[in-house]
Amino acid sequence: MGWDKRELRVNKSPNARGAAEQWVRCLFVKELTTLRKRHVRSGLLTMIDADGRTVDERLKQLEKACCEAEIEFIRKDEAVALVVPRRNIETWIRYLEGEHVDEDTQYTKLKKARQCANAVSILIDRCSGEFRDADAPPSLNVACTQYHTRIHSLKRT
Amino acid sequence: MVLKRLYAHNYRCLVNFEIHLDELTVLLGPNGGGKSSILDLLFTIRRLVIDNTRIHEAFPTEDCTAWTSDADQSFELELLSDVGTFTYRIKIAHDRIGRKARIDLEQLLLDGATLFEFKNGQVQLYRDDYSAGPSYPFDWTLSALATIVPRPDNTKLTLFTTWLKKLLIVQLHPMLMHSESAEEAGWLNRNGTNFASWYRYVSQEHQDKIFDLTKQLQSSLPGFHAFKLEQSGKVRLLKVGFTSDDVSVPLYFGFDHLSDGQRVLIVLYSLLFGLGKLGYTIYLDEPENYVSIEEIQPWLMELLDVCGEGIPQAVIISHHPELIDYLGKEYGRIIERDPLGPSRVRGMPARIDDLKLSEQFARGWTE
Repeated sequence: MGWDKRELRVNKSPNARGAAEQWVRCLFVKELTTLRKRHVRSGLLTMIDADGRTVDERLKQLEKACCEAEIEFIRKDEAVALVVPRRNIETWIRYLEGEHVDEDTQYTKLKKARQCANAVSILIDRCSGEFRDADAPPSLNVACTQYHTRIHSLKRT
Repeated sequence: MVLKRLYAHNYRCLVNFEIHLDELTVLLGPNGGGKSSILDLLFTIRRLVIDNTRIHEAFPTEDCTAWTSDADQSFELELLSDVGTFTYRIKIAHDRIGRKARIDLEQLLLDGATLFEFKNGQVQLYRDDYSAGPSYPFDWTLSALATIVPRPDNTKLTLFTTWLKKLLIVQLHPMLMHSESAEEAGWLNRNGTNFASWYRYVSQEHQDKIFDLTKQLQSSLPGFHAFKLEQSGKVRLLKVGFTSDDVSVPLYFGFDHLSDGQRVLIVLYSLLFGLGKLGYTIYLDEPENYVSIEEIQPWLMELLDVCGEGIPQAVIISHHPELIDYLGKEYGRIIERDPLGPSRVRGMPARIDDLKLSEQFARGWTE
C-alpha cells in the first residue's frame, strides 16, 4: 500500500500455502500483546482467509483467542486491522482483475505468487483513498475501511 | 531461460547427482553437503565454454570424486526456454595417473534434436533447421562450443551460450572489494571484488538501470544519496554519497570505505536492479553474510518480486534463519550427504508443531 519494504515485517505461515488458521490465531494473540508493549508507533495487519466461514465468524474466532489468552480484543484507537478475504484471497484477486465474483465460489489458486502483482497495484491505488465499491466483495470493502482508518493513518503521522 | 535440471557424476561429492531447480530455489543443509559444489560446477562449466579455459584447468583430475576410481566425468544441464528445452551434455575422460583430461563428448540439443556435437575430436555443426553444417577436427582439451561464433543460422545455439554468459555466480567478500576501476567489466566476478568496474559498465551501457538502482538504494540503504565515478589518474574511483537530516549536501566516501555490510547490501540490490530484464541468472552463496538482520527480509521481498520477471532465475545457498523461515518452505531443497558419501537432494521436512523451520534445522530435525 505504498509502504517501504523496510517498514514492514512479514510473518509468513510456516505451512507455506494452505490452511493456517490455527497458526494465525496464535500469532495474532502474541503480536497484539507485543504491539501493546511497544513504545514506538507500529501497526498490526492480520490476514486470514474466511474459507467456508463468514467474516464475522473469523473475527469472533480471533476475539475468542484473545479471550482465552486473557488479553483485551482490539481497542477502537489501536492500529490493528483484521483483514478477512471471503471466500479467500483469490476472490479479491479475481475481482481486482475485473472479473465478476461472488464470495461463495472457491476460485483456483495462482500458480505463482507474483501473478497477483497487477491486482496488488490496483488495490494500492484504491486503498490510498477511502475505497468503497458496491460491486466489490463485501469483505474487501470491510477490509479497506479497516486498513484506511486503522493502518493507513500511521503513514501520515 | 531457466535451468531446470542439473546432473553431475564424478565431481567432488556429486556422484550420479541430480537436482531440479525452479525460478527461485534455496539450497539448505549441513556444511559439507555439496551445496557450494553445485555452484562451483556451474562456474566451471562457464569458464570452460565462455572463457575458453582448457579442460585440465577447468576440471583438474583432483576434482574427480576421491573415493571412486572412475575416470569419466559427465555433466548435463537441462534448460527451459521460449523455443524449447535445451540439453547441454559434456563427458570428460581423465587419466588419473598422468593427470590429463580430454573432452570425449560435448553436445547441445534442443527438444532432443542436435544443434552441436563434438565427439572423439570431431565437431559437427547443425543449423537452426537441424540440417548438418560443417564438420571439422578440433582440439579435445578445449570446449568446441566456446569457439562457435554467432551467425544468422545458429541463433538457437547462441541462445544457450548467451544464457551461460549471463550466469552470475557470486559469493561476496566485501573486504576484498575496492573502489578502483581501470576499465568497464561486463561481468561481476565470483567474489564481487570488481564491483566498481561492473557498476561502471552498467552505468555506461544501461543508464536506465542506474536510475532504478539509485531510487531503490535511497529507500533501502539508510542515508544513501547516489553513486559517482571520479577520475583519478588513469583509473576511476567509485564513490558513494550519503545525506542525513542534518547534512543535506551529500558527503561522498570511497566504496571501500563503507562497512562490509553496506558494501554487500549495495551489491545485492545492484544484482536485482542493475540487471533487471537483461536475462541474467543469479546464483548466490550465502548472500546474507555481513548484512544486519533487519535488512534481510526487505531484500528477500524484492528478490521475490523480481524473480521470474526481471531476473529469470535465482538460486541461493543459505544457513540464515531469516532466509530459511521466509523462503525455505516454498523454495527450499536440502543437500546433504554422509561423510565420504555422495550428495543427495531432499525435500523440506514436515512441520513440527509451532517450531519455526529454522529451529527445526538448528535442532537437526530435518528428516
